[in-house]
Amino acid sequence: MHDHDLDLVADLSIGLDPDGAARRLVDSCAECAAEFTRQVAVRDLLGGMPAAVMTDDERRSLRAAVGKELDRGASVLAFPRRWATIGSVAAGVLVLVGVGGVLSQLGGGNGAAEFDTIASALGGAQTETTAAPSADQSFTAAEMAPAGVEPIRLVDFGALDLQAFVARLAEQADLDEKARAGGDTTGTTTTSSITPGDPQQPACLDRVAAPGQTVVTAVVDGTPVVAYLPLSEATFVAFRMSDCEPFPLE
Amino acid sequence: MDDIGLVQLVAGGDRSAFSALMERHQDLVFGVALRLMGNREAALDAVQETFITLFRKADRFRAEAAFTTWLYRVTTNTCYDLLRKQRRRHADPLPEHHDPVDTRTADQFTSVELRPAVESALASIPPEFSAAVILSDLEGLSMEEISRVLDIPIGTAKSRLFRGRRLLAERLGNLLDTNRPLTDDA
Repeated sequence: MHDHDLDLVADLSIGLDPDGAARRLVDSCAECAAEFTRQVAVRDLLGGMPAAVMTDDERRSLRAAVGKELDRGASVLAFPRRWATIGSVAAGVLVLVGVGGVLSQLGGGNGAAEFDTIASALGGAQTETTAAPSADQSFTAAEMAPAGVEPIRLVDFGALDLQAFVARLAEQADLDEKARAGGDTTGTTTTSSITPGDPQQPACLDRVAAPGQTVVTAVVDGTPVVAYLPLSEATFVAFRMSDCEPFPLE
Repeated sequence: MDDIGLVQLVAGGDRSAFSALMERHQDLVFGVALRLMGNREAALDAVQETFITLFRKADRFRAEAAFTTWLYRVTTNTCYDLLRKQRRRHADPLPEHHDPVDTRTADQFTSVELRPAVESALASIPPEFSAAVILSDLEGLSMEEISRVLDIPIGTAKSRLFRGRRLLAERLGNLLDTNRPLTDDA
C-alpha cells in the first residue's frame, strides 16, 4: 500500500471522499480495505464509549483544591514560570546553534542552509520548529505551550541490533529530558541523517514529528527504521522506513 | 451567560464566574484528561491544573476562537506536562497480540465492558497520537478543530489520528469488531 493510498484511507475514515477515489480504492484493494476496517472499528468503538464523569466526592475535592490554590495567590507561580520560559527559549537557541554547527562541519560550511533544507524535508513541521515564543501573543502561541517551542532534534544511531537500539532510545530520552529541563545538554547536539528528497523517509518523518521531539533513524538488524521519542511518556514507537509500518521493539 | 461572557468576567478576577465555568466544563476536561493520563488520580490532578491555568490566564483568551477550543488546548498541554513529569524511563514494547482477529469474541463485549481495556490501550500509546484520537473519536472534534487545539497543521492532525488508531487497533487486537460491513459515514 502506497502513502497516497494511506492518505485516501485516512480521508475515508473521517468521512472525506469528495471524488469517490477513496471508496474505489477500498473496494479494489484488500489491504486498503483491511486498514479501513481497522480504522472504522476503532472509531466506532471509541464513539460508543460512555462519557467519563467525576463522582460527587471527586467534584467536591476538586473544587476545594482549586479554591485553595487560587487563594494562595498568583505570585507563587509567577517567578518560576517566567524563568522556565526564558530557559526553554535559551535551550532552543542552543540546540539550533548546535545542529547548525555540526551541519556546517559536515557539509562544508553552509550549515544554516542545510538545516533549512532538512527542516523543509520535514514538511508541515518546519514552521513549528523555529518559532520562538512571544510574550505578547494570545493563547494561540507559546503561552499555552507546555515548555516553549523547541526545534526537532535529528539523531542517527547507525547500525544496531534490536537490544542496543532500545537501550539507545532510552538513553536518548534521558538526554532529551535533561535538555528540556535546562540542565546538562552534553551529548544532545546531534547530526542529521535525513536525506532531503528521499522518497522513503518523508512518509514517516514529515507529518508526525513535533517541536521538541527527537526523531531517530537507525538500521536495526538490517532494517532501516525511524523512531520518535515522545514528548512525554516514554512509550517509544518505531516504524520501518520502507512502508511506515510499526517496527516491533522486542 | 455564555462562555465568552463568563471568561471575560474571570479575566477580571470574578470567582463566581469562574465557578460557573468550572461547573459547566469540568466533565469535558475530566474526560480528556482521564483518557490521556490513564488513571483517575492523575486525571484529577490535570483537571485541577487546567482550571488554575484557566483562571490565571483568562485575560489572554481572545474571543475569535471558541472557548472550548482554548479549554481543550490548555487541557492537553497540562496533561503533556504532567505526563512528562511522571515519565517512565523504559521502552514500552509494541503489543504482543499480533494474532488474527477472532471475530467470535467481538459480540460478547459492550463498550462499557471494554472501557478499562480501551483506556489502558489509549494510555499506552504516545500522547501525541492518543490526543488526536481522543479529540476526534471521543470528543467529536473536526480535523480543523483538532488542528487548532493541538496547534499543528491539519495534515499532521490527520496523520496522528490515522496512526493513533492503527496503534490502538494493534493493542486492542481481538476486542475490536472488524467483521462489520464497510461504511464510511463519519
